Amino acid sequence: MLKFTLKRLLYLILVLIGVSFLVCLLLYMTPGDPVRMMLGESSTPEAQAELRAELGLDDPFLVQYGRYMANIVFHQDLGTSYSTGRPVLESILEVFPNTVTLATASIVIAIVLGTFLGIISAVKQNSLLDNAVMVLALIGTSAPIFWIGILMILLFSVQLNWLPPSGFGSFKQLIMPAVALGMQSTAVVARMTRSSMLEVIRQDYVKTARAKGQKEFVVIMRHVFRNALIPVITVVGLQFGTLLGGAMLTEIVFSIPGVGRLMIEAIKQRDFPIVQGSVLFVAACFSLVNLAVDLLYAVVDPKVSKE
Amino acid sequence: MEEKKSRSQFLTVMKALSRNKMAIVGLIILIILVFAGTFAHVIAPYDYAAQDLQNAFQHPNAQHLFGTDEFGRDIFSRIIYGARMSLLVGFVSVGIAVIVGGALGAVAGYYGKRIDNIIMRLMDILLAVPQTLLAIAIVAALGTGLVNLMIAVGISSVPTYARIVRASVLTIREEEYIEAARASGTSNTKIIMKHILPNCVAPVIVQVTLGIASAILTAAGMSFIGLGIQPPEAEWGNMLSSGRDYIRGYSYMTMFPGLAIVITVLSLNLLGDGLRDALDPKLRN
Repeated sequence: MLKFTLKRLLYLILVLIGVSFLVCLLLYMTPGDPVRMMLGESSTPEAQAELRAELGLDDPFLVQYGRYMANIVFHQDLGTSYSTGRPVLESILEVFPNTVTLATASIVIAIVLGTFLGIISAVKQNSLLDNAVMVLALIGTSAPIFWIGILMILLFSVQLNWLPPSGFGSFKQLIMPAVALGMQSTAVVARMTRSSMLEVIRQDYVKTARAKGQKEFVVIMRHVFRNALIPVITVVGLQFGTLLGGAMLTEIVFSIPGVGRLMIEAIKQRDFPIVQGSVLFVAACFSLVNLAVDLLYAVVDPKVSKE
Repeated sequence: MEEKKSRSQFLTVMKALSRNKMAIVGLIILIILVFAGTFAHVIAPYDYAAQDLQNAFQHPNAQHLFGTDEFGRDIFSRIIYGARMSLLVGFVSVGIAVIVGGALGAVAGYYGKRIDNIIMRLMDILLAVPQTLLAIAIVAALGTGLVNLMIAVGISSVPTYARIVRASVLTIREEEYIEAARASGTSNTKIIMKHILPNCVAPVIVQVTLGIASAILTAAGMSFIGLGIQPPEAEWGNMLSSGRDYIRGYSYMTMFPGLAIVITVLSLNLLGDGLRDALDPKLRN
């Protein structure tokens, strides 16, 4: 298990180096000059050239990339923002907790509500309730997060005046964004739980448990749900990536200062260091979560780590 | 002989699909949407960009079924043109992903060993970035606009298709008829094109249907945050974004584009689910 973990961790580092290379290359090829953006269109060519040299933008790509990586490895430095002059890592870490809180709250909603609805649907297969839940789940996977968010603001902030439409910090401010963002994942988890439960419910050992006269609740929870859990764990892990991506949209709708909003604003200002740093940072988090899910998977199902 | 077999397979699938009411509903909605998008210039009562400031902010009425926006543009017409935009982005970006991803997956699966290793590690790198984020990063580099949006969404879904095609190729590669083709001196390219790829069609079709749905959602999201299709072009995501500023009092401006997205994505999801059940009898409950 330890060997498996170390091997995966090493591979993760290689993948992230690949991501950094790709992102740097992408932004290196980008047309548009950040220096002119920083100094303004009216600045003299001499001043522009000077700043360009200072930032090392004239160096060949590999030199720039090498410097970027060396700074990350030796100084934990992701560069400096063109627009604010602050360290990129500092800017990211300042807003990152908000994104994590949002994503975590959403995943909790998805796990709790999603598995609950999935179990009910599977147990009452083909009933009216099952159909209703599945139709809702389908709509949930098809509705854009930002639209759901806007509708919620319209209902709960504008009409009913129950919840604040924007900002972040209090529990009340977390409710709408977390529900809006979690809705899609809730739907996915519900559908996965249902189909995976239905598969297990037909197994012989479930029939045996029933024949032994165990209570239906015990049969469902102990024999069916536990064994149906593995595919659900995978889906939850995959959903985290979707949530990190979706969080960007949610942050825009509810004006939440998070990594997504930081990055989108940076793109509009051509603040490349922030864009580069954010992509790399989010990719690292995403990969770590996926690794954790894989390890969890290996614990639940020992066959995996032997492969 | 082979043609006959694939024909009967096609009929079986269509039969199974036609028994699935939800999938048929999805298919019908999709056909209507494709029709509306294709003939938008004929169907739409107004030009999508025609401003009429004297008639701005009109609630839905007989002249303007879905009302008008802040520039007096007819929202119903913009929704119809938006269908053209969304479907175009959905189909083309998934087309890019299928061609690039499919080719990479086929080559990786067929040749195996080192080539497989290089291609799939490259895919792992792309997969390490959440899809929306990857698409945003690509647009950050390329710039906004229709074509760049399609490229960005397309590239960000390449790994999905590479994986599916590779997995199918791996199961087919060792079949006897492939060995026979190889032994008879057929070239690798021909084997891949003629024998291997046609056998990967089923899982790819399902993924394409669901993929178009998610591409439309991603594209709308990017236009919503201002990184996709730019106004005055009629696109549902950017219509939602501008309608948002007038949500107090003019909520219809956000209601209709949102519903349009939901209906489109829902129809594709229904069809995709139906196709999956029809093509893979094991999954049928």
